[in-house]
Amino acid sequence: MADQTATAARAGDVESPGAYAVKNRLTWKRPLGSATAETAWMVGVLALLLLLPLSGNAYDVGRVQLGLVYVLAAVGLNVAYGLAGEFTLGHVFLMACGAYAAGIFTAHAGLNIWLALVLSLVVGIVVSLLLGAPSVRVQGAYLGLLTLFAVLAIPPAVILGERYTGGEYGLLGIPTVQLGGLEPYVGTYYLTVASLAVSFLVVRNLNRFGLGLRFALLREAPRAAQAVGMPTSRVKFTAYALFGAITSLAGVMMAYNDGVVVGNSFSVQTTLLILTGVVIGGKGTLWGPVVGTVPLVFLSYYVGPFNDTNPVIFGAALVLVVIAFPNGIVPAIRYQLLPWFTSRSALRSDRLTPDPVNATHMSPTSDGEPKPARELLPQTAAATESRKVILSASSLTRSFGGVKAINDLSLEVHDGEIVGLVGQNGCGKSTLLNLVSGFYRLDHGSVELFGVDLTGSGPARIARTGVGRTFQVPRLVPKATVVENIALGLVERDRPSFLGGIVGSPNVRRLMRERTDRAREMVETLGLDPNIGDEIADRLPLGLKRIIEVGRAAVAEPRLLLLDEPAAGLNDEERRQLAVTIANLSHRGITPLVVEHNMEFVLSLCSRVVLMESGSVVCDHRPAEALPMPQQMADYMQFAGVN
Amino acid sequence: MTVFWIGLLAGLALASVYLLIAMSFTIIVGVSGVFNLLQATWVMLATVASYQLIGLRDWNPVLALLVLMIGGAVAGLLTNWIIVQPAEKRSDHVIETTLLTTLGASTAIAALAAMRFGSDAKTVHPYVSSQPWMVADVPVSKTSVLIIAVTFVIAFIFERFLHKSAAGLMTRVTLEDPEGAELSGIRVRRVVSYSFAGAGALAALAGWMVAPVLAASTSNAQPLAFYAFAAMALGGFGSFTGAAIGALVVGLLQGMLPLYINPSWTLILVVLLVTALLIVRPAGIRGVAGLHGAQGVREI
Repeated sequence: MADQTATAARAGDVESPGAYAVKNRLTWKRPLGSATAETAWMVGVLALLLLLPLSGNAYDVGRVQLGLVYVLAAVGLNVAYGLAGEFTLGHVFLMACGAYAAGIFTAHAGLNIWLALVLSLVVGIVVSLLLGAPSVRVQGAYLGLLTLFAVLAIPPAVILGERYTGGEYGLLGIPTVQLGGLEPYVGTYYLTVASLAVSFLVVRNLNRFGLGLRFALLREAPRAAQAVGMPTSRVKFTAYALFGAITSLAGVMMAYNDGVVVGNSFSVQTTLLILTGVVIGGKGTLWGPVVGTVPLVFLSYYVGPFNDTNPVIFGAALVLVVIAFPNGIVPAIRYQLLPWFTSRSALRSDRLTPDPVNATHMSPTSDGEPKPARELLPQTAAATESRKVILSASSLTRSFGGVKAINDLSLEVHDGEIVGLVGQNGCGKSTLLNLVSGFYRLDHGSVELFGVDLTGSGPARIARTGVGRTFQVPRLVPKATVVENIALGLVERDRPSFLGGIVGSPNVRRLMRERTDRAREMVETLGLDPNIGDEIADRLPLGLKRIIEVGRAAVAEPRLLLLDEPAAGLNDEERRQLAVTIANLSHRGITPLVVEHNMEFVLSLCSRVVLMESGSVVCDHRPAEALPMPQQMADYMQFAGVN
Repeated sequence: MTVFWIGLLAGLALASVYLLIAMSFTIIVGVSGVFNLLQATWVMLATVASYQLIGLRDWNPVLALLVLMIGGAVAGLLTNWIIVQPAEKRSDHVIETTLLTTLGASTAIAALAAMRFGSDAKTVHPYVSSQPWMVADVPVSKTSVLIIAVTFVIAFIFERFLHKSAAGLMTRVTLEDPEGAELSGIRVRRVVSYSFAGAGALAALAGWMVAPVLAASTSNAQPLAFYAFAAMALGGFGSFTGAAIGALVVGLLQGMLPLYINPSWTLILVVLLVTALLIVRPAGIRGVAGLHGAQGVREI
């Protein structure tokens, strides 16, 4: 145990090694999440719902229908809040838009219910995008509060628009749903069941085929999303559009069922019912909104929908669940309860055997005596000089307040080089990377990449031209596996079509398989134990997370790879392996630019070392050449403790 | 023109109350980043309690105020211990999580109050004579003057406290940089506890003052929370000057708009105004950009 502790500490792991060893084998067993089990659940629930009208009790069917409306809204809220991570609480506002739009289109404009349904969804989507517009600038609590309070504007708006909304008396005259020869209440019911089934399937498929992982990256690490070239606003607004469509669909179903729209139906309490459902069920999970909302709806029927007991119970449930199961009930069952039942014995043996992940993360290297990674490269100074310039930064300047972090800096990087960027803390190395990759705006100067002037372009655009990067603090999706995290580097390369993602077309499935295969290859290229591919990223030590991030940046085969202190937190063996990996990537036509403090690592790897001081390049040195080392570089090396 | 002056005075009185409520929110937002929706619930409960104590049981208003402020401070402490701290420990997204717990708790408590006291509004008689002063031909409500005066005094004391006392310095340091404060020996958790207590007492004071103006109603909590949020969002979260500017704007809009247009427009216009301003200036007029959300931004 003491040995393990030492290993974990050296690897920079923050979690206690005991907890680490227990958790890591359990989390990726997903007993309820397998595709077959999921399909079985869906078919079962759907069959139950379809059989219900046979009871012939119109009152009960109507009540279940209204319950399904809330579940539907919860599924919609889960897309924006759970999956895309947008803390928006405007779901009831959107329901109101859907309901009033459907009412006005049918009762006032006299459209048939199908056309009105489609038009109301369009209204819902447009309003949702408008409500989402502040999210580009406003995040977190501000956004949540702003959208929450928008609900308060519904009653006065209904009164002001009395001509169309019917004011306090409600919007009357909505026609009944005629579906074949069914009684209207059965017709409405089946229409609602169909809406829920379709919405659920759409969310499930989109989540599974690509968009889900993109949402996860956007939610957990928005900067990393930009670094893999994701147009983050577009992905975000896709979530808002889906959110708007599903929640306004819920509103339409409410209007069709009741035959009347009343402003009172849309209140902070309704907001709380649906929000509590999503949170206690488990936001971001497929079944969470369903599992969480159903008991609340039953409860509200039991005590009466307008009873004050409802908000008391919903509110208390929200408080208790957030404190007891912050991730919700479904994840608690899936990751804690079920594994506890199914593999208690396995868990014990896991705890006793030394953890293979903690021991060493690298597969053993074949040859005993490690040689400098640079020697793996067949390059000479002459060859380097004649190669193409891929990065040309000229007269870059950037200040923070009064400090010039980068001061009139010019740098060229050629194809095939391995460039090390060194210098003391605060000399501007990371700032330079951020300027080149578009994360910071330039005050002056220009950046040309692969012969194209990209001055002032955003990070996603620059990434798509073929620039990969890692971060000093690794930004991974914590709950996704290593392979999934690496595959994220590819999602913007072969973006599946939206429709293909909804139906899960063969093409989309193939792309997904290819991404996974290439990510697994990358795990090997990184020199990692192949088993690590299925680990949850969260459980890995910090140093290894950096390596995974290198994999995510490199898997799309960028032409320029910016690495920000990739070797920090690695032990000697791991650092040597990293050098070999970077050399291998260089063989594949990827040009690495490495910011690093460890000079031995830099000297063993890089064909060119650039020394920075106070925001400028002071020395440009090629260790492979037999030239004497410039004095400044020698001084810095002495400073860095290298002979 | 008389209408204008009446509206202006009523607006200033409302602005004063919103400033007190927004200040009570800001104290907590500033020190811990938590937007504690329960603050508005304490204001609402204080109006109801004012009716119960002063209106029904004939208590002396000043005595009632003292009791309410002590009650508010205790309620603030309990909020921190029961609703906020346990949620903070369990989550990485502290601000979002505590918003959920305080939303849940505030709705539950408001509904409990409605079950116990009924949801209809009850009139609370003014604590000072309801006979207005006449300035030229404009009636000046003594209650409004009292509210404005009390708020001025509180704001003045508060400003002195923040900028001239050691405790105020600690509060400001905690506001600027909670982690740095912790490292330099300030017991941040204690500062946070005190801020919850102080905010609770301030909310009780605001409720006591506003009771004769808004009447005592258990359904007041949501609109009060909204207008205080609007004041803070306009002025900038975490800034006291900002809260004052925002409260002035919101109070004047609410006091004067109904005199000229349909009162239903007021809330809608304020929502639109806040949305528009947050899009243009996310930090509000005087706010600190990304306060408490700023951590980690520079480390890319």
